[in-house]
Amino acid sequence: MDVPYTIEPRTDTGLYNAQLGVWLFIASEVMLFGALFSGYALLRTGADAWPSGSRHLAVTLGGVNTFVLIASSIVMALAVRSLRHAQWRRGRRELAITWVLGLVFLVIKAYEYREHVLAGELPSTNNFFAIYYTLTGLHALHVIGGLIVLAYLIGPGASMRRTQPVRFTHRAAGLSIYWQFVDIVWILVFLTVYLL
Amino acid sequence: MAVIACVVCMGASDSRLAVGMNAGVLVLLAVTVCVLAAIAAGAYVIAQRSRAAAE
Repeated sequence: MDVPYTIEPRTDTGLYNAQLGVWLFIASEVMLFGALFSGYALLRTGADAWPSGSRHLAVTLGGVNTFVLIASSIVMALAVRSLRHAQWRRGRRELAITWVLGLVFLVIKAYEYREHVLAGELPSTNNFFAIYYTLTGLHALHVIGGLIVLAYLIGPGASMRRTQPVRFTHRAAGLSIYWQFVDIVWILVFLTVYLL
Repeated sequence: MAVIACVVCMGASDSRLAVGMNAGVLVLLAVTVCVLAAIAAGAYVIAQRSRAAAE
């Protein structure tokens, strides 16, 4: 027996499985990052003195990364649009561009970490760097997770577009929701940790 | 009966740590309220769609 509502949405709710599943997952992710931001608010507000993020962190690199991630989100949305219009080659190319932009983000992040480590700025240095590494590290793990799923959709998972094109598009749309979420979290991290 | 101070600020309720604790609680509360409100709104929309489909 096939699992229902993987392709066609439920007639009463208008939702298909992937859509509902991704939104519930996003809700749990909001709670996860929310707890970390809460810890950040506690540490920062409770401290007698707190270092300025813009003085200790590479704002330019963070800004470039913000631009890269926003660009990747736009291309991801375009990829879903292309897939919905059955433009497979174009959609796949846009998925690949999203993947490359995600990788660029991680490379810049790794370079940033390297500079901090070489300067002796480790999570154990102070609360500021502890929260910086925790927030950006967890975010980077989410980017890596997104890249793994993207690589699957571009590579071995792409065969589904021949057998079940609508379901394949649903998968890409679900990943797109996740990717936009990862983008929003980064913007919040950049604003509160780098600039504030 | 012994009165034991709260371990967060040890009785200094106007200390920076207590202010920080309040800020942390408020941020987490705001996030939780937003998530629960979003889930409630989603459930309401689904119920509305279901009702419309049944009619």
